[in-house]
Amino acid sequence: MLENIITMATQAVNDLSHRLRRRSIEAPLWERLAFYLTLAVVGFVSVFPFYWMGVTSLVDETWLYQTTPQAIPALADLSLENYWTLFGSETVPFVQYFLNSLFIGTVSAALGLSFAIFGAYSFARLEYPGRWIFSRGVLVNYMFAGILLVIPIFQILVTLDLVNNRLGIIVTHFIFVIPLGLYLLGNYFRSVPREIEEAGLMDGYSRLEVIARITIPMSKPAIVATYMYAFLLSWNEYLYASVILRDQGLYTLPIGIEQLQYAFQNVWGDVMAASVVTTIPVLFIFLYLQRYLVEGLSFGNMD
Amino acid sequence: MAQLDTHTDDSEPNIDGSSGYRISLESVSKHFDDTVAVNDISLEVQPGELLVFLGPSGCGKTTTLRMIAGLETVTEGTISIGTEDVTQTLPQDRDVSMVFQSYALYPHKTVRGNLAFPLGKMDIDDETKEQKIEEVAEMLEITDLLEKNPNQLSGGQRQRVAVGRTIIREPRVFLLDEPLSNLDAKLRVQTRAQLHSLQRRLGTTTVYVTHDQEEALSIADRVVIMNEGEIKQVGTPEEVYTNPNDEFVATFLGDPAINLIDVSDGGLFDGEVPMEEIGIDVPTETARIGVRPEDAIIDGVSTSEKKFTDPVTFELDVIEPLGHTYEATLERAGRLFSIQSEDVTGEPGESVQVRFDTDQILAFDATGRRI
Amino acid sequence: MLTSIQQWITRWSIFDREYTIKQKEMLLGYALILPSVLLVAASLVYPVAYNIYLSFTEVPLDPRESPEWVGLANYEALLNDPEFWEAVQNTLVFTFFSDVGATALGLGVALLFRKNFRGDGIMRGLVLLPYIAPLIAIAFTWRWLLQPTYGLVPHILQDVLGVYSGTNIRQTMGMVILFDTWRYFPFAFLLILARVRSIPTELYEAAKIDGAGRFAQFKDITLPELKFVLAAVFLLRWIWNFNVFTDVWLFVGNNVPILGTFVYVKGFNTIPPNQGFAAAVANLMVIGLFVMVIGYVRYFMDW
Repeated sequence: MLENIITMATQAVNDLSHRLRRRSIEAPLWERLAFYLTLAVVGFVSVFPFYWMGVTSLVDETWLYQTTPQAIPALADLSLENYWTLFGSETVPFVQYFLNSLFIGTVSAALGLSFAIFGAYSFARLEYPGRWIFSRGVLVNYMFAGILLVIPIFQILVTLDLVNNRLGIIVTHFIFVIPLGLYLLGNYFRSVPREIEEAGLMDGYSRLEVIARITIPMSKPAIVATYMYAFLLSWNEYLYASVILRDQGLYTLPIGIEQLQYAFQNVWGDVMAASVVTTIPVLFIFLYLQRYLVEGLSFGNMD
Repeated sequence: MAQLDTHTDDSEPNIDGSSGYRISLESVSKHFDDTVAVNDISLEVQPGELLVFLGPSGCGKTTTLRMIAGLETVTEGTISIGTEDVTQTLPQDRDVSMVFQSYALYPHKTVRGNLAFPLGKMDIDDETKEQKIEEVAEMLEITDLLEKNPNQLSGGQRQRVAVGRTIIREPRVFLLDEPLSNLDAKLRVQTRAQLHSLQRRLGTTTVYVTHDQEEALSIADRVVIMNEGEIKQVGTPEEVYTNPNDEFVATFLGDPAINLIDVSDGGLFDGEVPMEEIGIDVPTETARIGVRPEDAIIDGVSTSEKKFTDPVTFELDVIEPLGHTYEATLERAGRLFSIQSEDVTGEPGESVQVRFDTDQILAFDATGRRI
Repeated sequence: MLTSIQQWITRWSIFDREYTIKQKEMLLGYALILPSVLLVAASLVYPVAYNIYLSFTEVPLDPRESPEWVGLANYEALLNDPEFWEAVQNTLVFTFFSDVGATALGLGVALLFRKNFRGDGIMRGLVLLPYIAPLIAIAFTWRWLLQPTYGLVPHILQDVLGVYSGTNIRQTMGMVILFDTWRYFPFAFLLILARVRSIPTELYEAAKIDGAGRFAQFKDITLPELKFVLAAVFLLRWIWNFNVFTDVWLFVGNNVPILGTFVYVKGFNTIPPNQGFAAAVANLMVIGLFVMVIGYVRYFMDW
């Protein structure tokens, strides 16, 4: 019996040393250690703020405002009171903010996408003078984004009576989203096999019908992904929302969270809870979009 | 036969009594930027016939087909179907259907959906649609595949669905772009026969494109040989085979390829073999003669009633048995010569005597034209 | 219905019905893209022009009154405004260092991911978090982490490590740069990674056989192959950093003034707002950006 154990143990040690020796031909041990260590540091640095965001949202006030801040709360310190405050509050209509963001996001993404689908198709399949410039120049649009144009756009919206209402922000967001949709879908539509659309033409359908009945159904994953990108653009947008929306009842989440600072005493737990609520949908969406990110933010070859 | 009501019924009678549409191409050219893909071709496709465009890759045959379909614009010239000029008609309005080389089935629809799609544009009720689908499915033996998706089908099955989708609408013209090239050899021969009899049965004018000369010769009513954007010859399979217009057509058709021997000083092989002496009677401008492998025999093998020339000496290289025939490769003066015959004698390395069938010798002048 | 729309499109313009196929396709192409182009032009070209106009005016508070022409007054004012120059300096410093930081860090992390390793899918997800999470959430998380009294980071730096003795570490240029680097290095990472992975391993193997050490391999193989991607990343980040507003505003407000926040504050956050002035600043930003981009592209990308 003892003999067996010893034989087995010696075997195991032998195997292990063989394996280690083999590995050292691939890369010395210290190098691999350094690699994993660096990886761990990078991971830690990336993730730590999120950990902190989550922890802060899940503890009660007293733990947050200690004289000596601590890194890890004890289980006893955890509580959901921040979330209750957030959702139950009367001074801060947080749920309303969430719904506003949701509504504006879904509608502006849908509108932007409808325009973008047809425009992208014309980039991909049809020929007309200027097509080259349009399809390349689409992303140049974003070079001038944001603060550079906020003043004139604000003035225009004022003239059109589109400030302080949801329509104004929806219009702003959906126009902002169009170039992105044109770029992403233009790329994708080019990769749809031409012959299948031609078969549709031969079967008697006009181009518009082919787009609706063949191209779009075949492009569902890309369209959904583009929709999600568009939604996220709107969900995260701060500048124009803050400039256009004045009534508290209209605020979107980014503005709402910023305003939270002034709403409560000892506000940080609530702010972090609000941040968590804002972040979670984004994480879910990105789980879906993950595979497309590998291609460098464009739609390369997809199944 | 139900036709779309938008076209006048200018069909003409086919040979067998059914009616079909004539296709006319007049001086049609296609330019892509700087290259000329199709150069001034004119052609009439007879009602009900199966016309095959044959030629090497890049010769313009597919481009021509796509112009008839409307998928390529015509740079010059006109295309008419029946009496209607369709040169500027959009493809969806031409009442023409097409089988693509890649089949181009709709991946997001079932087989039934694929077959039903063309019917959506016809003014018929649902019951008739179902009926048609069942009919076509039965005709092509794909009834048990109706509920499947294209990606669940084999190549041969997909091909049949593609054909089904093409015929279900009963258009004026069928177009087929190398429909068999993605199938394996055995399936190809089988399917080819099926397509042929299908076309016979339906009587629709059909234009078929292929690069496989055996395929073309076996199913075509007429063949159009194309090269470098131009039509080299039009004729029945027999005509183009036995009476080629030029060297290109002669060498393109026939497998193994025709043997070409240079002529100089009135003789073959630098005048070593004077032609008149051995019994070859050709015009004086002849620069080359062509002898098909099946029109030459090795002396000593049993002959038939054909008239042969006197023997010419070659060195025997290889004999390859091909099932029911033999292919012998011979050599003289550094050039190779093929013979295809049911029986050959001789050992590799030997000198053999070869005779040519005098009636089948083709003569070409210095430019390659046939004389 | 779609056929009838298409028929309507092709029919209304034909009195002479002899349109060729090429022309019909062109018409359709324009019809599909024109709405998008018009909208985008309206949101870009017109505002840019309008901004130029506004910069020469004084914009009244009451939106019903039209702006009053003041010629170069705004420009004179800003050129004499020390706050403006402070913002310019800050912007240039910020843009440069955070661009370098994000690109370098992105490069480093991309090199870590060059070869597959166990768990690299998850690691990649973690590393992307700073980039995909909503800005509002992470900006406020960082704020909380750096809060002078209760924040974890000042506590560690001052009390535990004893390295920092200022009052508010958050409101420093260094911190802003750090924040931006953290936020955007995954973007650089993604674009560089795609390129890094496509470098054929044979190049490295050949170099190893020739006795090249790791640093030499990096210098002579990796870097040249990445030249273009790095230049592109640097340019893109430069453009976005120069224009930045929301990132900095949510993180430090106006305490580390950059051009973006300067425009916002002057245009919307002071009483009375001076939108003509802000428009002038924005204008200069556009011009400056243009010059920088053209110069960069000319110099670096014409290799």
